Amino acid sequence: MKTVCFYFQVHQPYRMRNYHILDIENNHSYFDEEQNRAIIKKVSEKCYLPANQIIYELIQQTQGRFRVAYSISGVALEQLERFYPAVIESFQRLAQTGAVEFLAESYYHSLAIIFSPGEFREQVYKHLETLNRLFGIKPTTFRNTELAYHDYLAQQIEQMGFKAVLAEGVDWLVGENGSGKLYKASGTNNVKVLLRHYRLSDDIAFRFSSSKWQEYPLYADKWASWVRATPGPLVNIFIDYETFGEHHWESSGIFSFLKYLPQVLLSSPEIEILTPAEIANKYEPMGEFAPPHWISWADTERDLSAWLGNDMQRDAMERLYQLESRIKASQDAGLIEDWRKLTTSDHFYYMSTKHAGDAEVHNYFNPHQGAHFAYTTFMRILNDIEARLNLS
Amino acid sequence: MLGWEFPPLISGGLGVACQGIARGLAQEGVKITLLVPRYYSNPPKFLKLVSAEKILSHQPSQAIDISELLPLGSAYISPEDYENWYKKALASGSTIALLYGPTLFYEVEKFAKASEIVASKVKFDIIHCHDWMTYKAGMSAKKVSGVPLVAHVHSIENDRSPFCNPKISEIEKFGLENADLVLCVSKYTMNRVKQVYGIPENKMAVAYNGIELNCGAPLVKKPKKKRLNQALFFGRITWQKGPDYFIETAKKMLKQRSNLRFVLAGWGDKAVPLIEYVANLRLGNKILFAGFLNERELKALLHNSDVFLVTSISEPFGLVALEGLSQGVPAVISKQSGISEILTSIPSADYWDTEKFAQYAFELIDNPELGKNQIQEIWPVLKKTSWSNNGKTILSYYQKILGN
Repeated sequence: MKTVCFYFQVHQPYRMRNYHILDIENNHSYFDEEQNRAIIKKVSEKCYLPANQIIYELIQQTQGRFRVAYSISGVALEQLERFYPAVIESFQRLAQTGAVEFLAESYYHSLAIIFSPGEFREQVYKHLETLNRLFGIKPTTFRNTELAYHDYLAQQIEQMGFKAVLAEGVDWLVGENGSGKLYKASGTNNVKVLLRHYRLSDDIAFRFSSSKWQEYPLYADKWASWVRATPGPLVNIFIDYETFGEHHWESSGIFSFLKYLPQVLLSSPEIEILTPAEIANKYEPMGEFAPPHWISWADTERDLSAWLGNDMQRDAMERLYQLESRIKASQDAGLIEDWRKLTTSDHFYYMSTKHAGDAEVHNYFNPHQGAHFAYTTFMRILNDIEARLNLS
Repeated sequence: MLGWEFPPLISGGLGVACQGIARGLAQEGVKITLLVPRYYSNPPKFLKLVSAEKILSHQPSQAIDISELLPLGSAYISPEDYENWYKKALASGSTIALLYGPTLFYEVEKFAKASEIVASKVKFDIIHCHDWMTYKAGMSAKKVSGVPLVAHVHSIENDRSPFCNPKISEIEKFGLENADLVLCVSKYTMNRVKQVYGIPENKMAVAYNGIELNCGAPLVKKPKKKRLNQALFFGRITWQKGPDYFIETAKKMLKQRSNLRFVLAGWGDKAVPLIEYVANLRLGNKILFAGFLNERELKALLHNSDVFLVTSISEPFGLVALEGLSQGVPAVISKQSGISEILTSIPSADYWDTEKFAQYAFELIDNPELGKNQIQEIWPVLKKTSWSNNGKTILSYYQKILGN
């Protein structure tokens, strides 16, 4: 028996506006309402709504044999509630099918775990509250921002009551087919680790619409045959949900691919589809997962260098967390909320100066005119935050 | 008169200075024909403006979007940057590429040719050209007409770049040697010209630039209780302006106290490396980069500032000092700037002496009365430093070389 697991990441940051030097001490709105609203509307219509509809139908058609997991960041949920509540409703409908698991993450999609375990916990609890309010659920599986993972993370979330965690299946740690097994997180009593099969995931997430790819065009049956040929009991497909309709447009055939997927997979009796929590219940760990440093699913390095790779990123992140205790001591709810929105990892991703292939990825996601612009804008905002602190 | 640019089609201070000089002279009754490489706006009334592009093509130029011209970046663009710019413009299918030659030197030659044509048709008593791009044009006009040539030095190649372009230096040297009078924007510049090109002092004279004060008395800043003090650098973020010394000064001051904000307003080739340097110092929340600001924004930023620093490594004149002071903001300026000759009561230090810069800046921040007095004291000097006085001075030099 082979178990396939699908988890989709839904995230939209509060993108910063071009915060002007003269705004400091005059204007405390840091985020581009108009742009954020427009992006939520666009992505909702191109991806979230049609993809949710397809997945709902697939669950119905297969009587729940097709199952998926979502991790929806708190800031994404918040923006969807404000700008496009129909998407929330369609996720609620999916939640009611019983075939969908929702994962927990840090509300602000931050890397708080690296800088402040206390803040990390508060952000996770806020996410749990939101999931409970919207979907009436209590997740037992955790996924950290960008799959950033280290033993320390697993230990922290075990204390918070989580049973399983997701991570990247890095070759140099577990070997080429290592993601096919379930692991126990090193340093924990019994946290189970599901590892992403990055090749099969990226076939869909990145290569699907690349006409230069030798396997182009990718049809569901071809991809399913690769799944069947993959060694190990597990095949974990972890991808950004925006893959459907946003990163690959509808015209690429990505929705047809999704529609045929359950059919071609489940036609083999030896394949089942389960969600992460179900896998953690069903399987016993076959090894221990112990990366020597922080890993993630980003870039070719699979480390934190996409967010902390240069001085600008480190300065911005360090200066931000340096303010934490004073921010919290202020008890100014608006100030605390603004500060937390700045912890979102995307702001630091925009400051990356990596080149070559990865740089293209960065540029695609970048709403500013480059890394230096992102950094100087962020620091102007931070300076205003500090000025507000000094007044309170 | 031969100029490289003229408002509103300008990329920097040279065009503004050229306009000021021409206006000052016109006020003294001098009739001016000004040749510039190209011009598309309504010409000003106080002079006759001729476009070299029209002279050479004998065609009326088509309507051209001015915004398309601005990417040229600077009147002092380097030949390498010029060629890169030209290639990009050509590749993008921009019509403007067709107006420019493939190299900056080609442009300079073209301008000289146009000058020769104009000189053969128009009668005049004196030729007055501005900086190296126009020196060849000045010489060709002199050759045709035989009238005296005045070369106006706003800056020299050694001041603009640590890597002097030998071809530019050569043109500069030749132009200055062939001029009957070399007008410098400061004594500092005069000494530099003497030092670098060996031009004898008796062939040189100083005419300080002017500034238009838009109010009769200094602006009195409203006393505002502040928890934080702000020091400003503004202008192009390039080697010549010494922005790194501003940052070194900031570093020193921040070691002593933290309720300070440093702002660099402007952009330039040093901006990106300096942003990274500040990040490396982990001072990004204290030393802010504002990016390029328009005039209104810059004024507002000046009014928020307690002091501004002019840290130029070599500044022939230093208009920014006048601009800042005219907004009522006290300053500390580098000794390596022409402007320090006029602004004798303004605290000045060698550009590398960041200790002194920090000390003076603290004094001005801690004692607002000191700053207020500084502005009161300097105001009559600013009033005198006008384009009309500049015009009077230049006219007297004209009369001298014309022998009347």
